[in-house]
Amino acid sequence: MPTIKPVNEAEIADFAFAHNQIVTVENHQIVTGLGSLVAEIVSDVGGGPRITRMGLPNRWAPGGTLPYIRAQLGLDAETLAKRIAEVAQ
Amino acid sequence: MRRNSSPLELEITAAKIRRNVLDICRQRGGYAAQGVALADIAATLYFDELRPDGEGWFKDRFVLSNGHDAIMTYAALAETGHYSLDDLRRINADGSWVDQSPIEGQLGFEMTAGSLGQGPSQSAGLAWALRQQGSDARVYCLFSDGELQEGNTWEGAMFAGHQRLDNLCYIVDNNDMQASGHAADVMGVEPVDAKFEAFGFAARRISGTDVQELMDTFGAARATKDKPFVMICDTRLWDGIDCLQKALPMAHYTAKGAVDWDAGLADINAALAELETQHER
Repeated sequence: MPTIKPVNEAEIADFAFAHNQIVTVENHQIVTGLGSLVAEIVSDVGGGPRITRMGLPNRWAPGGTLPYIRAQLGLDAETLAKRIAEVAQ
Repeated sequence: MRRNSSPLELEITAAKIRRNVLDICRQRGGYAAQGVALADIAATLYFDELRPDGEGWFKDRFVLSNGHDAIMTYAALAETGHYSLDDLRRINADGSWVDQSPIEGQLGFEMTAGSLGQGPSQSAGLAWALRQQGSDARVYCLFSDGELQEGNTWEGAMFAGHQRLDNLCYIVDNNDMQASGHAADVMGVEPVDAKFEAFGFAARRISGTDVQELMDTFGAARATKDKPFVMICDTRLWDGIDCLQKALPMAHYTAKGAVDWDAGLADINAALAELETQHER
């Protein structure tokens, strides 16, 4: 997703309603981000899949090395894979 | 002499702050040159100008807008006893509670200031709110000349002038050095004093590295009525520390391996010993 505005809403709706579980992952603040956009589009149609948003939580990040910060925010590969696997069950 | 501090005592404190700056920055690198250049301002602020609140902190408010210069505050708060050097030496290490560019709520920091140009307007709002509450607390905001290139700075200054916030004192670190080069080359900011005067401030230009001059200027700020005050400090990043001077022109951020920290600490310790000898006489 290069941008969340402008965005092809029909494409997102088609994709979302073809599945019963959607996971959005973004390396941005989770509030009003990609996940929020998908949730808005789905809610405008009504019904639809369960949406799980992953991204920067709504709090300040700690200092440190990049791998450490990613792990603290749940954006490291291991944590992402684990959460997606949990959603898929 | 707000707290009956002597200039010599403040010079000794400033030397200790410089020593702390190098001690901390040698661990992982840091904004060492800024911390060293701002040590006299920090000593005068924390050890003379800001009034204690009787509960272990200060009644007056200090807002650091140039968040990366937190090293100045950390090094000073090691001298007041609010931080231990052991904690500060772990600055920005994984798992450390001390961040290089701190967030609001970290002891000593009123606001999250990693994004520059936010302090002048936020401190103007803080000064206005304190006045509305009937408080006599004063607000001091330190920001850098690079932040004069941000529009929000001037919106805050216009508000402060319009509201005649004489409980507000801006301190501009006019060091002509920003991450991408000399401020004069990136986007010139002068004449800084005339610009603030046009926005309704009383302005004074000082070196920023002479504690007597700083005490006098803080006194002038307190004596100024119906206007906010700005002191423009023409600091230079490499003042007094040869090892940092040798790191020029890349003095904005000092990498761990870029300078001879031992030589810098030796210079500072020699200067400190000389001052302490004077004090004993």
